[in-house]
Amino acid sequence: MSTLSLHPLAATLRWRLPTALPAEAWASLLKDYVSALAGECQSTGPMVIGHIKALALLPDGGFARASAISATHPIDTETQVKNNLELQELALTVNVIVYGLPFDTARNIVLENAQKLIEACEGNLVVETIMEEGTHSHDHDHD
Amino acid sequence: MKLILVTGFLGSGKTSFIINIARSIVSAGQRIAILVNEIGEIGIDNQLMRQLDLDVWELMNGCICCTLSGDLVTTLQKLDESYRPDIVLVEPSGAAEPGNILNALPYYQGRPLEKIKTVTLVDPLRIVPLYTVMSPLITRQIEKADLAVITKADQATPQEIADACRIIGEINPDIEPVTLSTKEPLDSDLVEKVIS
Repeated sequence: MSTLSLHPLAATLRWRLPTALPAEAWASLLKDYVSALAGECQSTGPMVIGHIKALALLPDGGFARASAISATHPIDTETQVKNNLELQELALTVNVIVYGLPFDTARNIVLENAQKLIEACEGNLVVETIMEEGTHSHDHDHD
Repeated sequence: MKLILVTGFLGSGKTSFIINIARSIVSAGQRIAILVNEIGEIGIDNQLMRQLDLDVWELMNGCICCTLSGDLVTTLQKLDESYRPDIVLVEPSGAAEPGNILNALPYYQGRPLEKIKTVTLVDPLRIVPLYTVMSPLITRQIEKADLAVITKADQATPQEIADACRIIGEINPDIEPVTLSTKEPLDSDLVEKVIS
């Protein structure tokens, strides 16, 4: 039986660029971000990736999402964009739900990779919120 | 009012499944409500569903299989009184154990629930390693299911699907799993299996 504890992380971040990008390009960045998170989480040691996911709601009513169940399976993505939208800024929500990953480690992975990716595009990162749901254990006695 | 509990480990495809089922139900003219209990403080699934114009209620700051089981009952009653859905789809977190959720339902005091159905989603890409390291949770999700859906069938190998069927059969031999490619429209037969 797994004794890995669960410390889910949720964060809202904002990426800003000096010039606008097509929404599809932002979606690609989101996919790269989730892929990086999965890879780095997987390399931390004994752990089980539950789900790593990110969602950006777009001002046109569309969205871009990316999610990972491991570092080796393809990233699941979906993008709905209307009207050739271009954005200079992307607000995203990230959930990292990985058994065996301490919250501080998850936080560092989330922030460092978000920073690295946007700086590579000469942009900057704003961290709005970053939260821990708390230790999650289901050691119930069942019928 | 029918209650359909959609369980399954994290990342098994619950949100996509619920979105597709909800759209089918709405297009058939029925009123649907979705209750989501996410494990993170800032939920993603509910935001996505709302962006897709689905009616979503969130159960927050806990888990509906333990700390929020009372909130689940209260919310169902409020939904029944104020929204009167024909069907309620409940998405617990992938870490939740369905037995405790089902145990809370007798405390519900709204309109009688004409049907309570538990549908569990099984991820064929990971079921074998997950069954090894997360066996109690996986077992409890499958053994409580009235219907098992093997998701991501388009991505899985025949061996992975066969392994998923085998594990489901070992845990719950009374159910016949169905396969689903999440990227394709839902088969009307599957929708019927879920809501009937």
